[in-house]
Amino acid sequence: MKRLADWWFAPAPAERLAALRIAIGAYAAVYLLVRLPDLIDSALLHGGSFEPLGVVRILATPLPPWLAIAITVATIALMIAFALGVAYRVVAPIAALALLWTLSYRNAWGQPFHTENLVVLHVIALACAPAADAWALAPRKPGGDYGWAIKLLAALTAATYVIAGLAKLRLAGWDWLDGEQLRNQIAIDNARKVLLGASPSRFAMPFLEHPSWFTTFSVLTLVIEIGSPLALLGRRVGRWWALTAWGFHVGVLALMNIVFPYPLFGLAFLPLLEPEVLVRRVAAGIRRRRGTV
Amino acid sequence: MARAQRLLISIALVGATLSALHRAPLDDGFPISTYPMFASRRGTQVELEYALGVTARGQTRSLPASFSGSSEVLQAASIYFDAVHAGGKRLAPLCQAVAAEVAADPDLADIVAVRIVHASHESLALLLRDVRDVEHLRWGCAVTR
Repeated sequence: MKRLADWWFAPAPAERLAALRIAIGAYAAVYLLVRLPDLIDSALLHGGSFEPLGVVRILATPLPPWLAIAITVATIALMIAFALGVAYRVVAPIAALALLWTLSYRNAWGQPFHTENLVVLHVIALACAPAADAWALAPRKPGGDYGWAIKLLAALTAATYVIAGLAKLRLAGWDWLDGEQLRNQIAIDNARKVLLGASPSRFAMPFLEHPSWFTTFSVLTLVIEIGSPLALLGRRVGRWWALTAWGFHVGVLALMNIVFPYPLFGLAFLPLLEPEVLVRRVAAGIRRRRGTV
Repeated sequence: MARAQRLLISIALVGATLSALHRAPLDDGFPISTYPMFASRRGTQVELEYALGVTARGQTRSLPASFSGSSEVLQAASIYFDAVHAGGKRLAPLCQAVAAEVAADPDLADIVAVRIVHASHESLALLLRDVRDVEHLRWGCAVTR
């Protein structure tokens, strides 16, 4: 038990947690900004399509569109303040709740988007941690423990992949590994895109004609998903897992034209890396460039 | 922050996320998800409601998902599904809204009518050989320019 606690509470620099706050907070703000037209469209949808889930279950009917849009705009402002580390102890929990509400509301129209779960979980975890003790507009005095929060973010990433892997075994059993289920899912997803006027994946067509490929894809998918807790065991294995999981999302993009931006931009895997090193290198590069000008 | 408090936060968040494993696999939620996507046992048949543009010669063409009110394919499918199952009261305004989008799109100048249909296609045949099953009309309306 003591070894487990020592591992979970192993020290880490305040800058690493701060880099995660900046990257994940900025991602959430930019994501909402880019998705603003879709979020406004959702707010204007017919109430008959409203299927509340998560925290939005407290609503029996949709919010007035102006209110839903106002909450979305406020959430963008809060996520910017979150990323900057402004009045963090007050702003961060409010920002996390606002993000939870805004994305739950967007997901309450008949189809949950599984691309948005992990960023919400990460922002909630960061809001509970001293993530603005460094690199913040109003930094608090460093001196707290930061390693546990980074471990928590990494554990949340691993947990979501394990659940996704186990869901396949729970729903389809070991048959999922023979590749037929994956091939069928990819065919249906692309066919739906064709019928609804969206672009199907061009890369998928040659693979769909050769089903044997999908056995390999299925095995790799389950190994990556169910093997995700191994990423917590050490930095090197964490990096390798992050790379293979990122490759898996590139494969999903190629075969299904589905963009999982949070992992594709590397944010989902950042807690397994040393993002503060990258920030320092970039800052040093800028300083050097300024020095030579 | 005391170590016990940090431990409690960690256990609560990881526990809440993993609590999805105690729910039925198809009982999805947000942000605590069972991640049922691509997990269910499926055949290759895709059953769907969607909109088609019809030219003066009677040829049909797929229309962008965004014409439904959502640019997300799955949400658009859900909007058409809900409207078809709610009947004319929902279908008529939806068809008119799609027709208005068609009328405003110069690339769709040859489309004179909109059909909201229900069909069940064999997805591999559709993708690899462009073979479509019968598309059953659920509602139709003219494009007014």
